[in-house]
Amino acid sequence: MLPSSVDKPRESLAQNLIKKSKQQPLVPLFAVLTCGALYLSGKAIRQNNARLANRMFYWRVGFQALTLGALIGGAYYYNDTDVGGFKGTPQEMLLKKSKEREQLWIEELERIDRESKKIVESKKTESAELDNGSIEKQ
Amino acid sequence: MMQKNMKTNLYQSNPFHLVKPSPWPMYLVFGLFGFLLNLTMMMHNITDNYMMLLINVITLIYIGLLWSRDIMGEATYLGEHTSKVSEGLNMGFLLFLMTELMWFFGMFWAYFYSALTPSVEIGEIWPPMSIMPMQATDLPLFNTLMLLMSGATMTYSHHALMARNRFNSMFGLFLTMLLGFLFIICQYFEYYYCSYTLADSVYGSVFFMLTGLHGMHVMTGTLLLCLNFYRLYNYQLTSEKHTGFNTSILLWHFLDVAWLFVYIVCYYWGV
Repeated sequence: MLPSSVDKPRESLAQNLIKKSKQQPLVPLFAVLTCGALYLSGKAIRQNNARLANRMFYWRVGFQALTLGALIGGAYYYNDTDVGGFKGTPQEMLLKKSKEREQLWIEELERIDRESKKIVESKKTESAELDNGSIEKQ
Repeated sequence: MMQKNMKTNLYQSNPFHLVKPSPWPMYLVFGLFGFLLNLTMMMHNITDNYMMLLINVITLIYIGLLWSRDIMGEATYLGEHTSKVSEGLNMGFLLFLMTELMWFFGMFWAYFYSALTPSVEIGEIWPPMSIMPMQATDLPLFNTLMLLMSGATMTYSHHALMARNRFNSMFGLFLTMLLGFLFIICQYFEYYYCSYTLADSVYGSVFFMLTGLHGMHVMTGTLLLCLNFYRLYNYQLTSEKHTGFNTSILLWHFLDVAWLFVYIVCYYWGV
């Protein structure tokens, strides 16, 4: 049997990543450009062209700064409270987590309760039917 | 020895560096074996003697320094590093960076393997129910900015070296070293005040493996920068020829970019 937490549809990491990449496309774009600049500087070093490598390093730092800017700017623009889990003090975060855990546990207990009630109910009807003689005892 | 080498160079008809027997590879391998043995024994609670591990680390660094000293001698005073040899060294370093890239790729694979389909044991959610992920806009952001700044100062130092500006080059390199040290110290405090450990579910394992792998590389990179600073101070690097400096810079920039992805995945969007 699955725990009750499965019943609630939660956003998976993949969905989250895709959603955020679509929402803030500048972040992956600049990250790829950063890698491209690094690749070109590596190539320049192999060709013993230190000047070109240096220029590519400039671009690398620039693109990385832009990536970071897009990342943080995006989080502020979309008021992303999920940055690193939770915005607030660690105490508030602990409280939120414990409340979430408590809620899950209550749901779990309710589910068990519902199921046991169902079983009791079905037993009752079964015994009543046995008393009536509507079904034969096996 | 030096005289003999100089004479060999005079009569050598090829541009390659035919290396002499050296004890350092063997010593380094023994040192690594001891390091691994003690680390494993400590992790499995067979011993809790930190001193042995410390001695191992000191030995490893010492052997590394001795080996570097030999290479510096060969490069600067014996003139063994011809253009052809430098080309080979660059190529070798790029291949080394490729293996590093694959290592990081493997670690990211482990992260996504655990994160994209979280198992039942951790509540089928990521991060696991009991884990409180780190605040991305806190100390990690400061660390990220420091690494970014170190990339800028590194480029400034490189540019100054090529422009024959000794003071600026040394100043830039010094700032980079300082930022590297600060990054390591901040990372230490981040680990110290972290609410979870390596043993807390798969999240702790992959998180500390990724950030720890990067942290170890930053330590090595800072050591390399210190060596380069020493060489720069001793007039061993010229504006035209500085192969070791070039490769160290490349490693530093590689680590910066790796951190960008670690930051996005482990702190920002991946949790």
